[in-house]
Amino acid sequence: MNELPEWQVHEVPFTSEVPVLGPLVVRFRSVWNQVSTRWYVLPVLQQLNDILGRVHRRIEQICRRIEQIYRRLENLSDWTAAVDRDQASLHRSLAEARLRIAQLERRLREMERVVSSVPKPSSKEER
Amino acid sequence: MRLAYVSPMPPQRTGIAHYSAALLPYLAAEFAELDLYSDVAGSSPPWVLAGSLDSLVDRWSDYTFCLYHIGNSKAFHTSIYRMALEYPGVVVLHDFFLHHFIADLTLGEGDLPGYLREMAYAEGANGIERAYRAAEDWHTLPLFEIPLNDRLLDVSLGVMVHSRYALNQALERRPHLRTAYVPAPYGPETPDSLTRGELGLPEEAFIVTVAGMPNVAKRADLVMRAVAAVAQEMPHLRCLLVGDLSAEPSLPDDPISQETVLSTGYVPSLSRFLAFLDASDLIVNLRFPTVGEASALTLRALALGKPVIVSDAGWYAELPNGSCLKLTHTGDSEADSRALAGHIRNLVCDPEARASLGAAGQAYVKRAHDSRTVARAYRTTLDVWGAEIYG
Repeated sequence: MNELPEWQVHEVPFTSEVPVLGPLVVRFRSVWNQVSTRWYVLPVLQQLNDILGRVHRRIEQICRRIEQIYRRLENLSDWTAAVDRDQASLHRSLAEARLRIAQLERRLREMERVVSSVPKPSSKEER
Repeated sequence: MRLAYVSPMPPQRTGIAHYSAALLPYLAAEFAELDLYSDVAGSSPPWVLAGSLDSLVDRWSDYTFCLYHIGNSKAFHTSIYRMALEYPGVVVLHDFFLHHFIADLTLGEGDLPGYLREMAYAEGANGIERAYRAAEDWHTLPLFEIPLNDRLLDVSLGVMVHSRYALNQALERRPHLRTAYVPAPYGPETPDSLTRGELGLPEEAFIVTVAGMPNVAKRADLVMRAVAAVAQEMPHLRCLLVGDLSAEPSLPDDPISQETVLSTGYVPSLSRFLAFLDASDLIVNLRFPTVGEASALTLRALALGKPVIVSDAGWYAELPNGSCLKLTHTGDSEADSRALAGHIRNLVCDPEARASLGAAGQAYVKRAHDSRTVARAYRTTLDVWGAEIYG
């Protein structure tokens, strides 16, 4: 027999622990149940199981969706962290470039100072 | 080469301030243009401040390198760390693991996104997951597992460390990083010339000293228990706590451990602090787990010719065998305490072994950690990196 899903509501057979008379008690209660409630309760039980089945399937869908979103978030986090790391690396490269430019500017100023201190040739010499 | 030296300075209560105070005169001999930037109030000779950290912002590109000294203390390193990220330079990483510092800087200030960002930077999505868990329960902070120094490593023009342990860790994380191992400098420093009586210490006792700032990783609890155990057979044994360490909440308060303990409280003067070390018979400086730091205290103890017991981990494990004893931590405090008690018992009974360790340790510090040699190593390293960057 197939096992019922965990979420499904089902009939529970009567049992009795009363010695000797137990089977009689069970038989009586089963017959009484057949007469008084079974035809009323079973359709309700079926309705309930239909609803539970739908809820169960929906929860499964939501779980799959959450799992999917979680994986996308993971990917996004990895991607953002990689961008952050790239930015740090670019920041270092930019700093190196700025320092080199600053040094070249200092050298240029020094060269300009040296050049400006060299006496200009007189107009006679130019001719 | 123009160098901006950025560090905490005395009287700031951090070992890095003393480190810089000791090293600067030797660096000044190597670098003709060396300017000191620090947020310490005022200035005192022989260190003349070029300015506060804020003032370096406009002058950053005037220097060949800014040399940022980074440790794990929020109180002393926050502005230096931020400056090093914004205006890259060469970082001297005193503690390889900066997780304590970053967690304090972010989570400690209620800045969860800041912590998430750093954890994501280091470990991607997995880092974010762990960060959320850690933010809910600080006991799960991966303080000794994820260094959280990656951003600083990536931004820096070069990174200097004081142990091969830290160097290997750095290269493992960033194989193409400019890194250099430079030994930690030692003094020279002179202790106050004070007798045990003048220091308030018992003349006849065998004194086992643990010194420094409160830090659970110093395992002072283990030392106190070990001394108390050996003192059952050798009642003249005392455990001396020098410095703020006595405020460490993890210390045992049972009567047996307390009976053998002497405590100095915070010692403001370095020379008096050294006098306490000098008055000791044995110095135990454990650090487990380690954040990859070099220990100035160990160097001081060795330089004084004292027998020293250290942890067999990180920088401490790199000290030459024969210059100190090393305790292997098993993770079982009882077993570690028994092993330490064994080392202490052996040394109490063997004055020759103590003398031999002391002499070897002293010679090692003189040979490998001389400040002049270290300053030259700074120079050599920065020359190479300068040539790489500036051509």
